Amino acid sequence: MKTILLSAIVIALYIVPTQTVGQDSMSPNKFIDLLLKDDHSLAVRVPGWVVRSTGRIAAIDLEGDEKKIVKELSKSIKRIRAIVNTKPPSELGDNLLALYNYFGNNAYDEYVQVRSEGNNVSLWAQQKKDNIKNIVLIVHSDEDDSVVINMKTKISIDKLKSMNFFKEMQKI
Amino acid sequence: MKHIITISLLLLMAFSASGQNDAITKYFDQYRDDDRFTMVSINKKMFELIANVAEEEVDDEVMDMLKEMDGLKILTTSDSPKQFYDEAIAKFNTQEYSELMTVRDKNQNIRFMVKDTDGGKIVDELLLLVGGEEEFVMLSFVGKIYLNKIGKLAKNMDIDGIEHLEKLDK
Repeated sequence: MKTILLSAIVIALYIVPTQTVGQDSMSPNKFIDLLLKDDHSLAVRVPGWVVRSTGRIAAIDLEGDEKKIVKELSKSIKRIRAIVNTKPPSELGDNLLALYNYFGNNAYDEYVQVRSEGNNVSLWAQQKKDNIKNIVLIVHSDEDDSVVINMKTKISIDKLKSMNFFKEMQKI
Repeated sequence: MKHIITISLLLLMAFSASGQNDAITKYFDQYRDDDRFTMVSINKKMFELIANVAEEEVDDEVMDMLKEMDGLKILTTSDSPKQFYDEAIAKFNTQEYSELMTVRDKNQNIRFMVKDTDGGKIVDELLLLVGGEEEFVMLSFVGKIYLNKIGKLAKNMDIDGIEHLEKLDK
């Protein structure tokens, strides 16, 4: 029994420090709420029905696969929240860390990250089975505007496959 | 007591094994936030998504490669490229890699190195280092990489620095 207890303590000593580092965690919505308090921010919330209506209107002039993609994708977006901040607040770095912790704790994956000439772009997504449930796009820089787009979605990978999404993307 | 020592040793081994990974990651992390560099990191999930979505348009071996790709990391800079190239060569344990190809092209050194566990045409990691008067590029592809297909994949990716991989097709 004593051995088991001691073993448990040893294991805990290894594991606990890695899990307690950076416990601050902030969801994308809280992150946007916080940025919104800043005078240099502009936020927008677009409900799903508006996205669907806009998608239908946008699809009128399109044809073929493009039309299908716009229609299907707009149907798959449940809500969009976006914020543009024209001057980065001093605590942006700490808040971003808390946001990344939230991603880590909630099975988000960083799909792509690009940093060039002081601009950072990262795309995070939370996938459950074959559906992408949440997408967060973060663009920030030390001096210029920062943009955070948080999308609640139900994008099916099978649907993307069926609408030749990749072929259309390649044309762009 | 014996159990504790065994467990501790196993844990230490597990942690040091994941920590070993590796000079390239450390080098990449060292400069990923440095304004002098352009950094691109594409993760496994993105490759999986592309593979799932693009299934019918892409050739089978490229598709297999996309599905088993663990990640792509690229660092480029035009600021003191020679210095960064020399630093990278000094820091990386190049003995872990087999030299696949070296090109000296217009005052540029281009080194292709691979990490291969089974000695076949599929490698576990492809490391590309470019250093010259104009640019430094460090590119690390990790996953199951078909060397005969990597050039084809590179042609379909519009990322600065990746065009060097097309040399593998020649």
